[in-house]
Amino acid sequence: MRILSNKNQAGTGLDQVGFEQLFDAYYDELQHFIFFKSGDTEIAEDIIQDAFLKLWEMRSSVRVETARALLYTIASNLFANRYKRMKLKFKLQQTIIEDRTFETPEFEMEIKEFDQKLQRVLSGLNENNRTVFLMSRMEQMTYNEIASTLNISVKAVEKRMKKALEHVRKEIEQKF
Amino acid sequence: METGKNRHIDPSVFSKTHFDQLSTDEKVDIFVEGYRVPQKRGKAEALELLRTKLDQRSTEKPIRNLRIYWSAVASIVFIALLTTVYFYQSTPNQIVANKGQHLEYTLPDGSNVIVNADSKISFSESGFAKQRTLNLEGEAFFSVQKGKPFVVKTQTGKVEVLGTTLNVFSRDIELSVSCLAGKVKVSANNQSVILMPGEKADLVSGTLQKTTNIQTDQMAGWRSGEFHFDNVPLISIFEEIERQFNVEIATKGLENRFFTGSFSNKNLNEVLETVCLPMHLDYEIKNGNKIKIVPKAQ
Repeated sequence: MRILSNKNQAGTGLDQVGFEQLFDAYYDELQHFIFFKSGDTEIAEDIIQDAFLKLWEMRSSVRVETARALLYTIASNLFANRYKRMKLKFKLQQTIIEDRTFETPEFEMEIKEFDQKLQRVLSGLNENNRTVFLMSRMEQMTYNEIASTLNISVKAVEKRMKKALEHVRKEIEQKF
Repeated sequence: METGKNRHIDPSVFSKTHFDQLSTDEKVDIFVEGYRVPQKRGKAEALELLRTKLDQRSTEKPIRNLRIYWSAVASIVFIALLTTVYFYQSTPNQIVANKGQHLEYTLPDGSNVIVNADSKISFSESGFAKQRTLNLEGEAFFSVQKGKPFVVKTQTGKVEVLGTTLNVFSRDIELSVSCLAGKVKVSANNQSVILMPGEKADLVSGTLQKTTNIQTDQMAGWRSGEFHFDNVPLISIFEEIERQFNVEIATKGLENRFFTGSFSNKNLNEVLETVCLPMHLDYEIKNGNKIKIVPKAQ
């Protein structure tokens, strides 16, 4: 899903078709990426719209091979510029509780409370640590993939993961 | 991306006895794996929206009134040289306006820059965040957000700004800075001058000279396609025409001649008329983009 290389498009410049192929290939992961930072679906979707508009503006100098990295750069810059000190509240969609019957109402309550608490803890995580953490655990990306996507070293990914895990563990284990 | 697809989760996890035995990390893993990023619009809908926006753009006025029309490709050469510096990214950025092109761009700090034809701006993303410094080759108009010092480095000098709008022209050995609002400090050759609105600094044979009482609407008219010249060497005028229309102009014997006047960049013939007529010159256009300037036949 990641590498989109199209022989017809070697070299510089994008046409409408190539542009929409990029959109198709990278829209979801980019939307997730900004969501991990913002915790807000609408912000994420708006940013990605603008990121693609920017990409279109510079299409004559875009190379397909580097377009993904470019999109990540544009999107995170747009986000950083617009929402610097935003207070955020995560609202992820939990699929494992949906349509499930629980042994007791008490247990169902416990699970839902755990879920809410976890989302709160995620909101409180440092933006960069959270992004790496969710890319790894939700998107199932390897450390290498994350490192190249965010243009940081694998060591940095490991460090952010470690910090995120420590923070989450500490906060979750704290009594309410 | 397996959006919407349920990953396999052992149903026994959701018996209380089993759940209670799990470690915090294991619980977190199970929950996080179960998370999906909610989407308000689906991808198809998002693409439709994007297409609408792009359509609106292409029916809007083309970028400035250059003769590049719709076919003009706003090419921002954005070289993302990916260098990892510690734990953050440092991306050197370049904004390049080719001949016949004006580009408008918002810098990471929110400041706005309009880059004139055949000009280039470069800065590093991480460096810019720490210290607002960029390099300019050519001409650009800046609307600077208030904040930390904003520095424009050119081949011949340095311009420091504190929340203002200004125009910087720097080509070869020429340097000309106009202040439209706020306060600007220009340094070159160990000299420096402070500019207030309506003032302009030029580097003339190595000396910084200040001109006052200039109408600010004439200072960076190029942004709206209007060019104003006050006693400017005729050769510089033809160089400007070359840049605005992406043409090559051959001149001969025009040294020491000066031009005062205005033109707009809408029509090449009109511009050539405007300049040539009062200067007693004629022009010939060959192959559409090669122009020869000759003295008017008597």
